Amino acid sequence: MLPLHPYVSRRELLSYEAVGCREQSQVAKPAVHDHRLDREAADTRDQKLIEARDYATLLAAHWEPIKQLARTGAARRRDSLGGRSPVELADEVASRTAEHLLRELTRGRRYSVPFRVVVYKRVGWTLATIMGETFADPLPMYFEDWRGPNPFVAFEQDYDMKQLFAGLPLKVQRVLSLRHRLGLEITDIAELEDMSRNSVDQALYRGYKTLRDTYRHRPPT
Amino acid sequence: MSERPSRLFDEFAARYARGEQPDALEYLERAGDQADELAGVLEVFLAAGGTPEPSEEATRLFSAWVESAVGRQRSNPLAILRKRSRLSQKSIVSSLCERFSFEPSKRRKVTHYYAELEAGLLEPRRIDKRLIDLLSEIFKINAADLLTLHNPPALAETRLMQSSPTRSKITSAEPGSPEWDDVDQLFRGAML
Repeated sequence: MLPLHPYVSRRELLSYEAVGCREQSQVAKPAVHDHRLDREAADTRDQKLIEARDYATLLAAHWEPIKQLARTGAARRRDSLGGRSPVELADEVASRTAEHLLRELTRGRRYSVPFRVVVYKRVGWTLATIMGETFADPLPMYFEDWRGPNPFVAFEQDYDMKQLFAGLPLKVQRVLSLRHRLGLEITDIAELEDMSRNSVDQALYRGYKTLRDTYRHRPPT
Repeated sequence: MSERPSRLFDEFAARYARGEQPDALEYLERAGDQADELAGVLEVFLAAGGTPEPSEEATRLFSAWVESAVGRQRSNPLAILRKRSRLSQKSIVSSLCERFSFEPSKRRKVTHYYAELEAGLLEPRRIDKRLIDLLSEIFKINAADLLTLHNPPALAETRLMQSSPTRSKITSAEPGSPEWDDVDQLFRGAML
């Protein structure tokens, strides 16, 4: 078990380990005041800001994650930028993301998932749109809190599900992942994915049918 | 030589938690061939963690940016910031001339350039860092962020279009031409 940092939550450390950084850092951890709010407090604050139509403060709070997520995404695509610099791409993604969010908010769009989820999705979509890609993975592992008593068990279950869905069409994968890996309601998925409720139902049906047909005589390993 | 992702993540997370603005690209560069591994960790960290309370600088900037897009003032964000600071274009131009020791004969050119900057007519990536730093100082914002954001916001482009000035002949010198001088360099000379 990794030691708990004063500024990194247990959940983040777990995800840190989950993506392969298993070595334990020897760096002495400075005792710092954590400027980040507790996740739940931040989600509540965001909801209040949306209700109060204080979009300036809301976007100001999310600007740094937007910028850095855009930069991370741009760096991942370093080899396919065609002469464009990662900073240039990241700046465009960040700017277009902020514009899109403001446009949605001012038109009265309301979200049934935390605003940080919307932000993450929007950055990914914007990057994918600019680069002409399909945005495959709906959310990173451990995006939402798992309520289970043992996060390691939750991780194993989630990992199995990711493997299970891997062969399905991307759209179906996304819907199944949101439903079963993150436990979102069908109406939430419809809103998040810009789909009708009926389309979500159909995607789920197609996914279940494919899985049933695939594993009827061969249980998943 | 690349550095270990775990060590880099520790450093990034500590700086982020202190309310600093560490640059993910810089850290990914340092991770070398392990950049993808670090990118995965950073994405989870940035997306799943609680977002910080916004700084006063960021709130001030977004307040002007949102106002420009949807508010009553028909102005660009920089103009809104200037008016809120109770400063005139003339006084900003004086500050620029003084800080960068421009000859009095160049004041007119600086005035034109500043008006174009406020109107969002200049290419942000060509603006010299010294000017960005001075704007940050005057308006108490991160001016680089303002330039990253669309200025004016695309949402406001239509309604601001009629009131925006067009590029002036006085600010149109080509790099390397006899007309190109230190004022052009400040407003349009970065990355050349």
